[in-house]
Amino acid sequence: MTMRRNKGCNPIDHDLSRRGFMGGGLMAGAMAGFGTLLSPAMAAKMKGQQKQILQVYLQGGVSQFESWDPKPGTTFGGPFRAIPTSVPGTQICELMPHTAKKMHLLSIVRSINLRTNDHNKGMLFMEKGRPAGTYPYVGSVASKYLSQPDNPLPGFVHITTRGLSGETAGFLEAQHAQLRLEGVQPPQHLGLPAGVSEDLALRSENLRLQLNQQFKTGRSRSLIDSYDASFDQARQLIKRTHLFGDQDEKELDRYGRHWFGRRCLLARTLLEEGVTCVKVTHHGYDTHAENFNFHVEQLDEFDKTFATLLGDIEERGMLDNVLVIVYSEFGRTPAINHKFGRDHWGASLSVAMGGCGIQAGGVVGSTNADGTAVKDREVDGGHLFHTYLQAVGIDSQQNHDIDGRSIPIGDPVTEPIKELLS
Amino acid sequence: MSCNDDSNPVDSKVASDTGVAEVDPTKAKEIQKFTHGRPLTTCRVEPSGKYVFVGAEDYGIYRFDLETGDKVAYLGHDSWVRRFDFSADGKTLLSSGWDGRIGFWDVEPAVIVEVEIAAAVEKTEKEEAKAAVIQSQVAATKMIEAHQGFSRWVHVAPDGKTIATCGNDKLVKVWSAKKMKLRRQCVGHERHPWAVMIHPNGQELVSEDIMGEIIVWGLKDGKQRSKIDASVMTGFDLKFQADMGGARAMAFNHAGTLLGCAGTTNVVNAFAGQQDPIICIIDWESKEITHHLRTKDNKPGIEWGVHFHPAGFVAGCFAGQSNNGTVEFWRLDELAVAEPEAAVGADADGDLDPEKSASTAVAETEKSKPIEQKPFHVVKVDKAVRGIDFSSDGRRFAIACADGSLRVYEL
Repeated sequence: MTMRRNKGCNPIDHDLSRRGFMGGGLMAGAMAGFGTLLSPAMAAKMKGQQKQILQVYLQGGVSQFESWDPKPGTTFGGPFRAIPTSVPGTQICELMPHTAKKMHLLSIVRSINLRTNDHNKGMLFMEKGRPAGTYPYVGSVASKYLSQPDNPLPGFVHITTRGLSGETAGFLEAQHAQLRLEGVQPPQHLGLPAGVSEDLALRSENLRLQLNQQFKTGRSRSLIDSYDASFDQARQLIKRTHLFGDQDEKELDRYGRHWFGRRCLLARTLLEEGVTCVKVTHHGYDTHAENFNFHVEQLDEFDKTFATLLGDIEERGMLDNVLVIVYSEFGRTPAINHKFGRDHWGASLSVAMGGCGIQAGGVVGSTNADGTAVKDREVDGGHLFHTYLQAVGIDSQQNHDIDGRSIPIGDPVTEPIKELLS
Repeated sequence: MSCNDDSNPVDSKVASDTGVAEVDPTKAKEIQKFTHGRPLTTCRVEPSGKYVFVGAEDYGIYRFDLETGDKVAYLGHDSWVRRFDFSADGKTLLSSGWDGRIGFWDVEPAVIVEVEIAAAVEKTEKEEAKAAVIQSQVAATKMIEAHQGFSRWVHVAPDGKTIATCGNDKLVKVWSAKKMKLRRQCVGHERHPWAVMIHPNGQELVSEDIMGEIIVWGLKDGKQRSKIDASVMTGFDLKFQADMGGARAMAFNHAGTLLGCAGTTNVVNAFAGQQDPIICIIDWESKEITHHLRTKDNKPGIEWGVHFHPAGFVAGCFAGQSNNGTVEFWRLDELAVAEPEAAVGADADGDLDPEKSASTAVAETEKSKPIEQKPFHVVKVDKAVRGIDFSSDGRRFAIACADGSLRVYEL
């Protein structure tokens, strides 16, 4: 299946100028009335559906040529070939043979233009759906609207080692901020310090609660409760020691014994435990030098592991409820530099997604023959943000209700990629 | 080791036999320059010295006639080519491509066809597209599916009977040259091997992977004989969490007493090209790294070539992080002999350990401290250099550059 937009005037062109007028930040709050507030009843319904998100973030900017949009034999195509996939007519780079066999579970968007070549800006655009401003990441939004009220675990867990972080919750409650796990290790600083007994810890905790009560006087209760909730969630997570113990050897054989394999295995477990959004970062795609050798190495790790994880999610019957996203903060330049590298490129990149709410097996948009520009159906991080949320049942065109203020959930100047939604 | 006495391991006998002992790298000057529309990846001088073959960032192999400048495209690979070799009689060119195949081509093909091609194939990024160009094309005489994954290297044994290849299936393969029949598969690399060479003795072959693990194999049985730790040539980039290293080029000297492996060391940020170039010289008898050949300025980049010249020096080519390049020439100093009184089993307090002999201590000194050798001469190139090869008579060399130029120098 190939999804293609009707040719003609592209409303996104108009939208972009409108976006510039609106500016960023909480100015968007002034747009109250654009959408309606997400009602408690609707929010409860969404939580009841138990939708989840798996984000696989290829940090540094995976090359679209070496992944989802190969251009073999063209000027900037590089040395790799395109291979057929489980979707007739759809080809991806030969560096992902295992993923190629799972493409019937995914769709590709090949026409993303972020208009930035900056790591941080690109990442924030892809996460927040806005080119600028203080807004929550998609994982934090999912945590707020999809997490079960009785689920004691954090709603948004990010498994990584390093990378750009920040206020992922934006103006949402702190409990919806990402809980960052350093690899497959449990959260830090939650255990008892050396020399502190259980009894002393209990007395210390009681003192903290007492001080909290005093602190709450005259302050926003929701804010304090939110921090309390964050602390409790992390503590509940660490209590599940089986999550962080030795991983099953047979499973590691399947997933790979490298860090990414271990992280993806933990991601599967966290999804099974009910964490709403699990984000796994695979580092090593900022390939200004040795782009091709690095992609051989990095995608060799990514490919089999990701395909295994995707297959497990499907086989366990979870895929209808788990949205799977593979993305980067931008792509890489068509031009190959003298170091056999490709540099930052936000003008034409790709993402892949599948599972919950997404029509699988499709390709949205295209780039020109040399891959230097989007050819049709241009979209950006805003469209993707809407699409992700709509796929998991969140009406992204409605508003957050933040202490009485209405703030559009998704960027009002963009819209979901409707042809991707099932 | 010195370079001009009878014991010189760097091929002094060859030098005297061929009459190139007096070749002087300090007199190297560029005599020819040819251009291709795409950046070059490697080059080889054909044994007769009439042609130079280059690989490029397209799917072609290109033969340049050094007398006429004529260019012929050898087409058949579906990917880039980064390594060539020649049959023992010099009549056949062998190529290893990232399409997993080994190509066989006539150096002097009976049929060359003239084909009109789209200008985009030949134009550079800055050039205006021309309407069309005529390209002289040659087809392969044979293409062999050699590896699942990219064929990284091909080498024909000095006796011409055996061919070695390696690829991203982590295998080193040994083939009979006559019918290109697979004789042996050498299994043991845990990561991708990037280069393989057959030893001049015809009994062994050696390969190096991305992790700097060098494995010596028996040519007859394909079994591992020994390993050499060249982990100095690799590094784990902590920031980006990836390994990078391995041999970008590999060569034996004529006598087979020395092995040279070119690549990188001191990885700081391999993703930005921030690592030091290096050529490791390995003494084949002891299997120890005896020399680290370093560039004069030690600027970040990659050493893409290594060549043992019969006149007694080692040549390498360098691609800098800033798109500059050099060709550098080294002579191998004698290994330092440790002072016995300082080396004989002295512990931290200066006390002597009677269990350790002087020779053991010297050996440990040699093992732990390869000589850091600087070049005696540097030829500066205004573009990154990605490959180097010498003519059979040792009097000329060619370099492949990142700007698409092939440059020929005379010594």
